[in-house]
Amino acid sequence: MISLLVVTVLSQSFDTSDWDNLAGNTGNASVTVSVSHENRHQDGRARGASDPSDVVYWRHSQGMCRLVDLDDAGLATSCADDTELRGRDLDCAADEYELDALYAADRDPATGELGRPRLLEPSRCIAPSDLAAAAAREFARLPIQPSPLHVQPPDGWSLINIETITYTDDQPQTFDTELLGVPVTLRATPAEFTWDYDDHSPAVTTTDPGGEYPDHTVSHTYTRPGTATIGLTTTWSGQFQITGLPAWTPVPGEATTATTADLITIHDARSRLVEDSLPTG
Amino acid sequence: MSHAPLRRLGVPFLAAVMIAATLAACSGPAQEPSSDAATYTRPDPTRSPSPSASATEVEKPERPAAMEKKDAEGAAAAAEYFVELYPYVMRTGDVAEWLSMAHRTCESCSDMITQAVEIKSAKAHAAGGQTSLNVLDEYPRDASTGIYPMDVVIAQGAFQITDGKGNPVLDSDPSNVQRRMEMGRVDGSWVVVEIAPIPDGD
Repeated sequence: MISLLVVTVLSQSFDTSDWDNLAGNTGNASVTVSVSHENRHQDGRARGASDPSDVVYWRHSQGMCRLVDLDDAGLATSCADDTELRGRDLDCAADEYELDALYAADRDPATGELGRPRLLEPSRCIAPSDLAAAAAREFARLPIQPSPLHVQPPDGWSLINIETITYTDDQPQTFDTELLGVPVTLRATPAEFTWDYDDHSPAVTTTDPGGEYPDHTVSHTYTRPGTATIGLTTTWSGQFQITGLPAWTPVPGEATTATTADLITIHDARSRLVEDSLPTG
Repeated sequence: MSHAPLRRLGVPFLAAVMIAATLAACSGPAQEPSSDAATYTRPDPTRSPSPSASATEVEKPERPAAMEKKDAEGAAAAAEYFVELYPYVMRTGDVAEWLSMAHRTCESCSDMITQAVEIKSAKAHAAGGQTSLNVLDEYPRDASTGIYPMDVVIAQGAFQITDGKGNPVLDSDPSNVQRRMEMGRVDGSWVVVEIAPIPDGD
């Protein structure tokens, strides 16, 4: 079946390291591409030599060149005769992604017209391992939502010598993005929780997110009255999945998020003798 | 010549090549059904073609005027026309219209054309298979190819093929199949770029 998303214009800035990693050094790694494929046929405005859109990149599969005879196909410029004849897509393995061929063309600064496209890289099969480094960089930039931090008792106070309960959740978070032009889902999964109870006691690290009373599993007992701001640092492990493929691949490295609860007051609850009966009801 | 096997196909539309192969080699061993074949049974000598399999002449559908439009409406009209040609082409072997409308990338089109040619060359007979198309979803025109993709449901009536001696080769029940059709234009005329199962997740 012919893929419908035939031409992908790289509309984002290239990350030089990503580019070198995937396609080798083309000498154009610093170019920012900001025009759409459609525009490259319709936008004939002259641009200055320093305009970042002087080089236009786009991708389509070599098999797509078999559509070059369609009236409205914008592929003619990047489907030379020989490409058309050998226009055959790859036979990638089940765990690989077929990354379409990458083309580039220079825009004439005087006329705005694009020159003859050149094939920078033929279609290739991308294995998850090829994306590991890019995945690690992207994972480090993910806007992971910090874990929620719940404290019981919940009203801003607790008592010495009883358990102050803390808990969070261990829900993974997913993000759809692209790595080197390959659509992926990145998943951040809580791996460890480090609880700081702000009373000079050692921080406690668990893999358990805890739970609320009476099913709580993570708690702390204060021994002195005062105030405390409980903190939670979550360490996240990462996995990524190439869109359309079943496997999740671990992302090297880890990410952390920090959460701070509202200030709580630790009271000293003492027994006192009173003269009158305690009110009932 | 032994009887060719009777095939009861869940998806006669598009499941063309293997039938053609059976017709071409009806004295040989039966070809195994493809994954499209719902069931596969030996011929039943007591069964005769149903009334719908009569030799009634099939009129060629009229080319809809909407096919002159270059927009999504024109694409849908062309898709409908292509599909509705099915019984006519199978009955007559007149594949000229399909040949003009089948883009070289359309493997399903090639398969069906091959089937029609094989039926005719084997002096076999096709009957029934009245086919209609309804568009389920239309997608935006692809800017870089001009292709109009659409998801369609193709409804087909009972369809029979008998060989030159009147032996049943295929007897299919009415069916409904969903397909993704991609329509483009070459030299100002609509062509079918592909007919294929709707991808998962769409």
